[in-house]
Amino acid sequence: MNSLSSFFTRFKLKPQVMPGFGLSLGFTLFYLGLIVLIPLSGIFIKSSSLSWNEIWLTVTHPRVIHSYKISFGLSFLAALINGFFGLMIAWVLVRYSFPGKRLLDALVDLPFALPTAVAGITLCSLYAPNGWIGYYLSLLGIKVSYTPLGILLALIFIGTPFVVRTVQPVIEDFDQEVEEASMSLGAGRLQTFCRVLMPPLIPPLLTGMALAFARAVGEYGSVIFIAGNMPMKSEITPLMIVIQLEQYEYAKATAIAGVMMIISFLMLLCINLLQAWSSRYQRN
Amino acid sequence: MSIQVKNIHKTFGKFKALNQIDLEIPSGGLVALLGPSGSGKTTLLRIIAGLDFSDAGSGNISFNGHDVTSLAAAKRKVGFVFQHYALFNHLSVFENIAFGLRVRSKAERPSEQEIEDRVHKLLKLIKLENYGKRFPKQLSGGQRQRIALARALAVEPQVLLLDEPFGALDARVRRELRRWLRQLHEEIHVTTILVTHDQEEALEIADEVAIMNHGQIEQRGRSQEVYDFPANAFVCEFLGDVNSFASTGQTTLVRPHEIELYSHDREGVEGVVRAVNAFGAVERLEVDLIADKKTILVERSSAVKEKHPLRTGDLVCVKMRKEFVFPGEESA
Amino acid sequence: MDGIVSRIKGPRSLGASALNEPLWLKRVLIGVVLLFLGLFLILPLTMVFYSAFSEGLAVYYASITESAALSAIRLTFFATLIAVPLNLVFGLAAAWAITKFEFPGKQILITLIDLPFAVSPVIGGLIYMLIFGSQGWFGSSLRDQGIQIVFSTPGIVLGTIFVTVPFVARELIPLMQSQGNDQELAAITLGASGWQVFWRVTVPKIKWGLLYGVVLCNGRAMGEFGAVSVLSGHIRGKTNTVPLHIEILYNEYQTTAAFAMASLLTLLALVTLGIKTSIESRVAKEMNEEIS
Repeated sequence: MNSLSSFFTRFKLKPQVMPGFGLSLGFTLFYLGLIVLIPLSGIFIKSSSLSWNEIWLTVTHPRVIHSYKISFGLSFLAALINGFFGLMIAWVLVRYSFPGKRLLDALVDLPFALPTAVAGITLCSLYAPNGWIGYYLSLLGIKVSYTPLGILLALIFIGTPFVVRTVQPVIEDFDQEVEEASMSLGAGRLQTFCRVLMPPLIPPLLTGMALAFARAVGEYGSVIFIAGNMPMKSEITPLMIVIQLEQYEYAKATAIAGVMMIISFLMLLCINLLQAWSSRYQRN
Repeated sequence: MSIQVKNIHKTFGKFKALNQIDLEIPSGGLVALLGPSGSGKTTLLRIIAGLDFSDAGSGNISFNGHDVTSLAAAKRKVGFVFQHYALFNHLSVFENIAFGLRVRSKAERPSEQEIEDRVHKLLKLIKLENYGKRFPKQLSGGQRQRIALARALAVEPQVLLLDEPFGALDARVRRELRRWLRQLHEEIHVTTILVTHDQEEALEIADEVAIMNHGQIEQRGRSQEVYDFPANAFVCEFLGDVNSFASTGQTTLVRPHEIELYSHDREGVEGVVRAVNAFGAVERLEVDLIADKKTILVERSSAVKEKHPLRTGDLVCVKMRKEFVFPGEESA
Repeated sequence: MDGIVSRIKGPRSLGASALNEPLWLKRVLIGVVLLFLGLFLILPLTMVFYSAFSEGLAVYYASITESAALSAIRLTFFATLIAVPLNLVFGLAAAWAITKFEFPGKQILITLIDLPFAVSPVIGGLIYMLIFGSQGWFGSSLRDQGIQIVFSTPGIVLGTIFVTVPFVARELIPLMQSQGNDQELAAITLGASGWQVFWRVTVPKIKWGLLYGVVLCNGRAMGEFGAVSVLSGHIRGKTNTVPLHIEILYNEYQTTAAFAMASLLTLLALVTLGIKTSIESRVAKEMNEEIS
């Protein structure tokens, strides 16, 4: 660790007063490398044991293609819905007071804290044709459990806290004077909301939606029960990985995982760019 | 546009923020509301702007004789400048100034060309012609405050209300902006109320000052007038340093520059010079009064200082040139 | 979800009545929010406990004390007991390195710490299969020595560690950044050693954030499903954690038993949220006392 410390000494901008640089950074890199980085790099090494053609056939198999549509499409839709309701929830929790508000505020994190398997069986039972909600929906001819609609519901469930918790602190931090300034300049309440309050909310809203999206794409436990997992209908991409693994097709599983990671990465990159653009005025 | 405030009360819970306020401001005047923090001056300004409302059943606010007490802030045509600028950080300087024009209904909204002309005129007025495309976070505090002022002026308000406009700025910028604001007022002559806790600022800028304490107006008058003839001990102490001497039933207040020091052989109260602060145009001395066991502050002009130099430990005679005597032993 | 403790603010005063929406709009918004949260949060929560106790206390008790259930609970505790302390030490080291020093690539490091959040838990399981599975890099040599990692307890522990790596670090980094180094520097000028600074100055400053990170980490470790599911091989009574046991019961239509087990994890989630809320109000109170 001494050599690591001296390696960084050359880059140091100012002398380090605080102790423990070598130890803390050394352990951090060692642990992260061992647990996360080296294993993850295995994905790309393992995929390369297949020929390009095999990889292509695996990742473009119609069943797999359909799972992309389900996973990415529904995750995107869920993120949009979460964006809308998340903003509303955050606004109501910050600005209004009503009985039970503190309890609800605390419960917003439930999807984050509740184990996914529990969420999965609960949502599935609620929306099954004989479930508390599913029964009434089935009278209307709406089927939720074992359909893409069920997947969407599960993804909305797990995404809720992400948007609320990124938007909420920004609303809390709003300077009351800015709203008053807008009003004294003749703007009505709606104009104030659209022109003054909304623009600073867009970057955190996008961040929250991106987090919800990323979580939704990779989600397994809470979706797998309600999805029904019917080929070409309600299979998600993580399930395709699991199916390949169960058949001991490690390389194929890895190829699909690689595609998933690349698409997620590209989408997050787009959202980050969009976010940077929408908060350009923050720069000094 | 003249402003009339009649019998305004405001309570927050149990706290009486304003207690029966009556105030008239002539059209085109520049009046400063001066007082310590918590005296109610900002609350009064916010009620005039329509950002707060006075207690139900209390008096009213009129502009030019028209009652505006229950009129929404957006409709009062008031320009309000906030202490912390309250600029819209996501809008450029140009768009900040244009905001009040753009939010008007279609029928009242000026054309794009008119908006541009008016904003450019204001940018010139605040001496920031080339800053239209910048964002507020890229500017200094003084520049931001001028933009806040231009933004308020863009809607051609009938009344301009300034809430501690220079409070967040450093001393040098504050002095510059003071002079600039005074000049600006002479150019555009819009009725202006300035809230400040800085007596120097109030006396320098305003035609008239209203001194507030505990939710009431203690005195109202021209700057020189209130300084020379304070209505009570509070006003006297708030407007500048004083030495106070309590005796039964009354308080005597003396400003440091109204005290003369003579050499020891003269008649008067005896004292010993404890410390001398001689930098600048005015010399400041601390003098221990021997009989009273009390330390007083004395200011002497440089002319007097040169003619009659004093050092720590010198014995002197103290003589008051002018005293204010108020009933009551306590001073605020 | 970063830094909940670090971003607590004092209460906001909403003095100006003129800033409010019309009453009808307020009511509509509150109504929609209540409906949404009721449907998505309250109803599922009620459902778990209702179903768990639907056949009475005796069945509930039998479900959670049956031998497969008990061994699942034991395995879950075992994995958590290893994963949480390791990730706690990691979180402290990472937060110390990142917030106390300037070095090139810091931003990349912060991003890398978040990686386990960004990838699917299924992928988290997969990567260890690639290394330790029968066709993996070390698969054959491990088999020769009779060591089994995947489809066995070590695999489950590894999967649990992987998905919970970021929790403590993510909570501490923003908190320590916002607190700055002044107090630590003061301690150094007074002659404190590195460990003394850490234990006597830093740890007391970050205790609530630390506790919160550990609580979250613990909750996730006990509830992890995807990664553990891939790595476990589903051997009943041997490699099943509580969430995996729930899956098996549910798929075998033992719904009441499944929800009985689920109610244990739900209780854990509620306790986690309770601790979070009390930490938040405590920190907010401390900050208010500082201000006044």
